[in-house]
Amino acid sequence: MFGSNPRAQSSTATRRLMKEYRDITADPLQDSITAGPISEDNMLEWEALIQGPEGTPYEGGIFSAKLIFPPDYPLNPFKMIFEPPLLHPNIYPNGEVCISILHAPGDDPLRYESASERWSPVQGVRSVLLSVLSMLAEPNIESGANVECCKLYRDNKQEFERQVREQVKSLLGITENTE
Amino acid sequence: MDLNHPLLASAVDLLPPFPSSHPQIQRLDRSLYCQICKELFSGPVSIPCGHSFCSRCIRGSLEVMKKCPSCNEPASEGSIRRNRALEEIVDSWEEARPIIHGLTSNNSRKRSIMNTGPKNAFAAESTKRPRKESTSRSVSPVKQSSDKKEEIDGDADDMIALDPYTNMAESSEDVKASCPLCDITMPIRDISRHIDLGCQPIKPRPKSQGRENLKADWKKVFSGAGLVKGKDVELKKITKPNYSLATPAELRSVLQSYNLSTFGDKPALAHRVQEWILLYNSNLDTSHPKSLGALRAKLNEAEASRRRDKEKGREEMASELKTSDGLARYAQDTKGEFERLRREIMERDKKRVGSGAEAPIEIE
Ligand SMILES: [Zn+2]
Ligand SMILES: [Zn+2]
Ligand SMILES: [Zn+2]
Repeated sequence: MFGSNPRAQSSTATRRLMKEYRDITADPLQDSITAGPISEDNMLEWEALIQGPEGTPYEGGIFSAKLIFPPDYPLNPFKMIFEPPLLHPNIYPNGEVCISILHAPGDDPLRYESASERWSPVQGVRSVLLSVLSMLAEPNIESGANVECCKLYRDNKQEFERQVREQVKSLLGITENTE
Repeated sequence: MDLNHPLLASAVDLLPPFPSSHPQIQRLDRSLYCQICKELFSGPVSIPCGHSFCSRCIRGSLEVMKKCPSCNEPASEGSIRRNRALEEIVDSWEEARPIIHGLTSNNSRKRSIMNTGPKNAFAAESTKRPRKESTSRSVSPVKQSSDKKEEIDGDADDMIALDPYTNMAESSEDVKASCPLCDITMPIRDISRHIDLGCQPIKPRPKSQGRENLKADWKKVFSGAGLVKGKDVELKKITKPNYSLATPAELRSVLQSYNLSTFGDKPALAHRVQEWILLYNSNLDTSHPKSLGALRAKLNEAEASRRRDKEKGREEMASELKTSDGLARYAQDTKGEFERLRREIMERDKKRVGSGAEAPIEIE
């Protein structure tokens, strides 16, 4: 359908994502983050790579996450899913990131301190990835996603950090095999 | 990903950014972008907190949350006011931009010749955006071509495919496509009339000749059947129906009264009415209103592209399920450009191995 007319391909979401992608490429976030669409024909699915922040147990690791955008983006936020899942108090066991900036304005109104941390259409991939980077450095166990991991973090931080470092190593091992 | 991929290059006619050697101009340019769509304001309006957005953008956002997206202050549709000064500024900036861009990039080009670094990797992306649809002044073809001429003078190297229609199908009058709404296949030139008639079959017309006609036909489909008449644009805002209470028949009659397609189930109808009211009402907040025909075409286009997006999503999901091994898929997916970026990270990481305190893990 309309294969011959490229203009027909771009929805509001696609246009906005093209723009974000170009801006990220032109003016990289930081040395430790890259993000972009997985394929040219679907702007609604991106992959992000995040380098574990220095001075945290995630240091040395490179983590891959999928960003899934809804058709009405940017009115509603995207989902961010670490693949494979990452051990972190604010990441669900299935890899999905639970962070206030990725919550639609209507979601559970009392749970978060400030509404300004919520998703709004002026947010974007850049602001979310920067939040995720600081989330890796400073877990927020107030709004945990992985209960077990929250407990561990609270009760035995050393063991938590050891397990994270183990995971970082094994993840890199897997990455090596698939290359 | 290759931004010069033909699909992307013409799918999104992004304005070329200014080089970082001119931070003041970058700042000026950025201040004229709507924070929701990240493009130059189109029909800018202000809300009580003082923030401005495109009328279409903030109206859409207020459907989802009754707050300013930038500062969270309460806002409602009724408080939206046109910002005429900002519109004038954006209009003039759109005209001046290619000239100023030409000046700045000529300078940086000279500089990059001296440096010959990979710094200018983004120079190639500078696709010239044709005048924003929403602010199109419906100028006569003559005027338009003289505009082009000026831009070529100021910005010669950045001129790539000004006319988005030049990239279209090569073959001529027999080109067919399916209607974005009902999927029935028909000659492209019939689509807009077919949609205007509420997705009725169109009797074949005598064949016309040549690419010119094909282009014109697509133009009709996507820019509104050439119905540009001042009187065509009405001046009152439409009041929103209560979508949850309205019956499909009521929604259909709203659609019918604006000559829109009444095809689809209730959610589809409600969505179409909602989109139409957004387009229609925001069209009243600009000095360059479009004809109803153009608005209709825009609505159809938006609906079609959204549906394509959804279909893409489903395809993705399906292929996701087929590969049980997420990692294998992941490896498959991260090819090309992205793989390169990834290597860069790896390389940086290895470099740090030398100085690293915590003995980072070796890769490869
Ligand atoms: Zn906007
Ligand atoms: Zn505000
Ligand atoms: Zn006045």
